[in-house]
Amino acid sequence: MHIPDGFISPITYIPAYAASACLWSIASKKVEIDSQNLSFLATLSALSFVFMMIAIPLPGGTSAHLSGIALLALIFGPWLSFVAASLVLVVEALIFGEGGITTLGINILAIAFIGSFSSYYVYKVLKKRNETLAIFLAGWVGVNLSAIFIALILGIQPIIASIEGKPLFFPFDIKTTTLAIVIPHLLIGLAEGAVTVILYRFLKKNFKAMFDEG
Amino acid sequence: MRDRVYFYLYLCLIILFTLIHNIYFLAISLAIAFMLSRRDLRYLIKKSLFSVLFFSLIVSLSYLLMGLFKEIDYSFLALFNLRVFLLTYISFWVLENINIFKVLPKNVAALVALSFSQIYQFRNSFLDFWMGVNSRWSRFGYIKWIKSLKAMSFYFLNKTLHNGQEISMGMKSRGFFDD
Repeated sequence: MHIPDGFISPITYIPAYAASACLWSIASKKVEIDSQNLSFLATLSALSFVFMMIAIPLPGGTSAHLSGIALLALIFGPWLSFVAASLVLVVEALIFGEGGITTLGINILAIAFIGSFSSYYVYKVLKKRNETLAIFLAGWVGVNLSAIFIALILGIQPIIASIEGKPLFFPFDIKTTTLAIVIPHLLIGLAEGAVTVILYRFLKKNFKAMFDEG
Repeated sequence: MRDRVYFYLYLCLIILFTLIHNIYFLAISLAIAFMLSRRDLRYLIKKSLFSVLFFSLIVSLSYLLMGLFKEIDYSFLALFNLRVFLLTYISFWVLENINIFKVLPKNVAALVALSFSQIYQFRNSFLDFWMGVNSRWSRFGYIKWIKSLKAMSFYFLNKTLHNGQEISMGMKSRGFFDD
């Protein structure tokens, strides 16, 4: 779901960078990035990367990648999840050359921030009613809200960055991006939700002490 | 110092390339980038093409398809693809020739370096794990897949907690932290 370079106008990616920087500044205070936490954050980002690598086999021979953000947010809380997922995106962009440099801020907002916080709060609000449903919806909502954000960002490009009606960056409108991005994610979200339920329950049973601390 | 100067110059350039919408300017910039990076030219072209091909093709073909139903500006395709390729090419060229850890502030550099080393390690373990799992399957089954997923997540969460402590102790014993 990463947006590559050249798809987004500076009028969008510069404010997105500013917003991401503000969130990082808040996150660094919330998770206290000190000597104790530095190495833990690094390994947590590696865990987040591994979750993102999991391919969910879909009927028809295709597969979709898990985002794993909901699982991370439910286990470690939204701020740690945000920092870990952002770190993955930074490493991917700066070192692996995957995802864009100009679009890094947008990718951080969409995947790390919206994914972590929406999942966490959906779970928090719904867990008293039905915990399994809350975990499932945390996974589903996290994936879909990120997809909606990406679709919106791409879809507003022809409106905000065009000359005499001619596009300069991504050329398709919101209706098209919604159809192309959000609809497949409605289905991918079902797989993400189901995997989140299975793994969360399994890990909670096997790492009881860690979950009790939280 | 050299790395920092090149990195900031690179940031200014990529912003400039998204601010100017002239095809000739972008084409000349790409030609200059090709000349300056001639030593790695073939490798960088191949890597950039491989990286942008999928998304650029989807957007370009969909745009052409849209042209069947309404009037479109065909020069957009040149502008869009040129810019995407130029930005990707320059990013690969610069990021492969500077030491990114010298550019970032000390704590951020340490965090990114540690994350990178752990991601690299975890990725290799992950690939080994799935290769092992696949080699033991005669055919795919969801129950087997879920069991493997559980085993894998157990292993990696354990590794996350364990490695975090180990690295922290290692860094402390080598005097990395002054707190």
